[in-house]
Amino acid sequence: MPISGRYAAEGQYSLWGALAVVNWINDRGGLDCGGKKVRVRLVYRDSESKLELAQSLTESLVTRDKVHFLLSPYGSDLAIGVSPIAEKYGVLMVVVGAASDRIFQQGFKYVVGVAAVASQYMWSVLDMAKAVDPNVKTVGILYRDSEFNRMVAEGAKTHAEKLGLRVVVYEPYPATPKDLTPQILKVKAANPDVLIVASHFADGQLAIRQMAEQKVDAKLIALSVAPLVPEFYDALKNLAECVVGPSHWEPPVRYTPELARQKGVEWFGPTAEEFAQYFKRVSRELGGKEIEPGYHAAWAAKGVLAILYGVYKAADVDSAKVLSELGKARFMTFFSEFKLDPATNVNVAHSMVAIQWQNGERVVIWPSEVATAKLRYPSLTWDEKSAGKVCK
Amino acid sequence: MKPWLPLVTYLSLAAVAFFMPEYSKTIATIVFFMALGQAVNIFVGLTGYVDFGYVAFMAMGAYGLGVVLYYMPQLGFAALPLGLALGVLMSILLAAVVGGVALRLRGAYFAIATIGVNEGVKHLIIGANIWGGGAGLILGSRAFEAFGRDTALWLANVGSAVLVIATGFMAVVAMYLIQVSKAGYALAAIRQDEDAAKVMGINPTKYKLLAFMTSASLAGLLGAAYYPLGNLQVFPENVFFIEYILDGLAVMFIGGAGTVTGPIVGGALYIIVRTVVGELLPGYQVFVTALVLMTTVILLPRGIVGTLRLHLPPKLREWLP
Amino acid sequence: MDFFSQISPFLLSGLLLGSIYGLSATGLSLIFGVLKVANIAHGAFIMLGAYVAYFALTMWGVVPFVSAILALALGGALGYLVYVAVVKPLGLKNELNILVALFALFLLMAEAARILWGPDFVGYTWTIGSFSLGGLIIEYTKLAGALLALAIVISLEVFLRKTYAGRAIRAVVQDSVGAQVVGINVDRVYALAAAVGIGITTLAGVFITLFIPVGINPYMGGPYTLMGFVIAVLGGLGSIMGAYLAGLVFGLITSVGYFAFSELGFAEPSQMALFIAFLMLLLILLFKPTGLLRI
Repeated sequence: MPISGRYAAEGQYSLWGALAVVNWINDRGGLDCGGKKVRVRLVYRDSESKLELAQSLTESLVTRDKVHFLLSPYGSDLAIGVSPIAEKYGVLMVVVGAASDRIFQQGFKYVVGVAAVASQYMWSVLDMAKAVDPNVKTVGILYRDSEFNRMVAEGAKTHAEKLGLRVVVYEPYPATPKDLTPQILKVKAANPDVLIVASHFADGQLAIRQMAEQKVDAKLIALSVAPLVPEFYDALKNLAECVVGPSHWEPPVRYTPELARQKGVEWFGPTAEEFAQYFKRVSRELGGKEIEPGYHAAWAAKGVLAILYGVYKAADVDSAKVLSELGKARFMTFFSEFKLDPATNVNVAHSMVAIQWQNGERVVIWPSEVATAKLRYPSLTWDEKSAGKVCK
Repeated sequence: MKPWLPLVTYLSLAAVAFFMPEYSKTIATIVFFMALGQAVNIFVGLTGYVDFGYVAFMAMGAYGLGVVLYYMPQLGFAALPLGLALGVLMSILLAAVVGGVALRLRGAYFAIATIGVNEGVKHLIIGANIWGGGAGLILGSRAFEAFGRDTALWLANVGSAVLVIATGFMAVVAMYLIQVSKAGYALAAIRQDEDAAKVMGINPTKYKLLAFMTSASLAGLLGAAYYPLGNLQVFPENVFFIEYILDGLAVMFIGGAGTVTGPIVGGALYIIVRTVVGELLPGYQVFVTALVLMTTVILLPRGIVGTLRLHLPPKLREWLP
Repeated sequence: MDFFSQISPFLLSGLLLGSIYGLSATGLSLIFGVLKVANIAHGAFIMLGAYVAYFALTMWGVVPFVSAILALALGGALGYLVYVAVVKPLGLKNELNILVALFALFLLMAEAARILWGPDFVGYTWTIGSFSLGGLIIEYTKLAGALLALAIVISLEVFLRKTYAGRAIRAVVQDSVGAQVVGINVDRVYALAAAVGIGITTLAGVFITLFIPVGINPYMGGPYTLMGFVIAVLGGLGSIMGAYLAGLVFGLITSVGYFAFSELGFAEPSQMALFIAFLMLLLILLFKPTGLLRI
């Protein structure tokens, strides 16, 4: 897990999420493995967001620390880089914090994904737009030119066209942009109904900021990744209002043991409340302040839970056996349901939720069965936001 | 000088990587920095020029093998030698072009020009959407197709380590050959005083170009061994990542610029410091490494080996080139 | 829409941003001119300035135009320290070692920032309204920032031409041995140039946040170092006014170049514009190393 370097923030939250689950299970005496309780140990190293360190540390985790299973490092490049190691030693690796479709198209047998892939990120947002307003006609897409974001944009484009929407502007911008005014001026000329920005953190903040300056209004504005952290609102204040984003998981999303019972699937792991409580403790111990878990944390937690569930079912720590159990598995955790696609080893029972910033809070607006609020549509204009109005 | 010490070091590391494959990635990482330092040393250490765009050569090597594997996996095993050859060739060509024109510039101007080359090539690849553009090349399934599953995994884990070590080995040989030949004396003269060397009938550009192209071809090989073979990917944001040259310079400096054994010592120390700090104080590795680098450069400007050599009797000095 | 009204917003936004780019490269250019040192740590001071602006506004409510003064002082002090602790002990002749030491400094500052302030991307929002001109909406803060940048560059130029210290600096730029002979304390000139250069760079970091008030994080510096070099070389290393004008040119290239390449149908127009910028850098280094705009 990278806890310094360019992926420091995301890597740190992922690590805390994984630790929260491990602490949860150990506080309950350990994992039930063939009738006896086994304590779980999480061994982690800091890859400094660097390929060569990710590789050698992964190898040393496998060959010297003799770990039974691996969690991938954050970032598609690092995850792909360590895949041949997992594959060579036949150690199951659960990919967390990397969603590029292409990771799972390479034919790695021991590499498993637990969440939706990049090309599906914007599907829920587009479905929602179409459902809320059947008159939506045009979509504009801006994307950061990198592996992951390009996948998000391509997926959004295909899905929009499938829904009968017209993509009127489709523009890339550099990975570390300093100024997006040129791209935004182009979007302004195209004037789409729905505007999608396949962004990462810093560029997402910049995009909103400069859209506000140039007053590029759309009925719905959705960004990937950036709006999911509190810093987004801290940095943009009112301008962040009404911004929509797809998320793997949000604290108010309630997958519960009751829901599992209703649907007739097995429940596994902590409830969302328990997870939040354990995460807060970890963040206080390691980070010095108590914070709410976000989707990176939940994602990593889900990765750990998938491994634990496989071990519990197989009553063994052998990767091949656990993998075959996971192939058959169908269960629910606080994160989502779980069902692997045999072709790609990706969890296909997980769909993304959509959030919107309303009055300084991140609320879940889609899908309706887990939503905590209604989508504010159409979005407030930039003038209204600058005047201090909030989404309600 | 006697190059046996460094050569034996590389050979024994290669043996460990080969016979104890569970250590191959760890060794590959250590040797990656040693070999990088070694390749950088051939140019920077011998000529006194700084090339901040050095990673462009690694990138060329990476793209050489990456492109062959990605677009022609049906070649089977032949894709490997062909890809490596293409990668090295592209690095040498780039070095010839850049060196041919830019080596006339001095010092900092050259350093800045090479940053321009690195960034320019990167922006061209992404901007004109060449070779996968900004999304890069992912080679897992292609490698399986070309080499077969088990061989591909062996190549990614052990093969790439062996190739990285071989690059380090060749760098020592190249350094040795340059230093004992006329070129070595010419380069020493140029480093001391370029104008005086010119007066003595030495063509500075010719010798600088020789060192530059040798160094670039090794960097190309390292890039090919590292990204497409070892990591099964070529992402432009990674292969053109400018910090690798700085790592290379750091390794060279900690060990001792211009020495042959220096990069080996520097590379080992560079990794050891990081690993130890990473265990004791996770997250502080880069901070401590930077601190070590700064103190070494200021307090021990000749590096560890360079300083050691000063205090050794001439007989022993021969053995610690 | 006719051609001019299509291109005018790109022109305007390029010029405004270019003014800040120009300011951000003057420090680099000054240090190179006087000490003949390429300041690899340049971007780290931009990062520092951005954090000064962020903390000043969010913690004490101090607006960027005021915190810029704080950044200037802080950067100046650090610049002096860098000269005394790093550059001077190594000796200016030892170019290679200085470069590596400055690289270490760059890493050290980024890591220290992460350890102290965390790895998150932070930002602030501060607006006092905007107006529309030629198809572009311009924030008053941006316009003021761009004009102030010009004013700062002009006053720096005046300082170099009219004051004793400034003239001493210029003498050293032209001929450091000669300057020593006529009785200038070269050591003090070096220290002064390092302090002023890094002070201006840190101040520029504050100004940059007027345009890009978001995405502030410990690792933001790298691209600014690269950009700084391109601009400083375009303007002729060592020339203050040259660097500023080159900043304008660079701003226009990235903005208008984007428009042009986009019209030409390139897949990634902004990257192509940057490609052109770096191509220009190479051509200038080869054929006119004194810079495009030497004055």
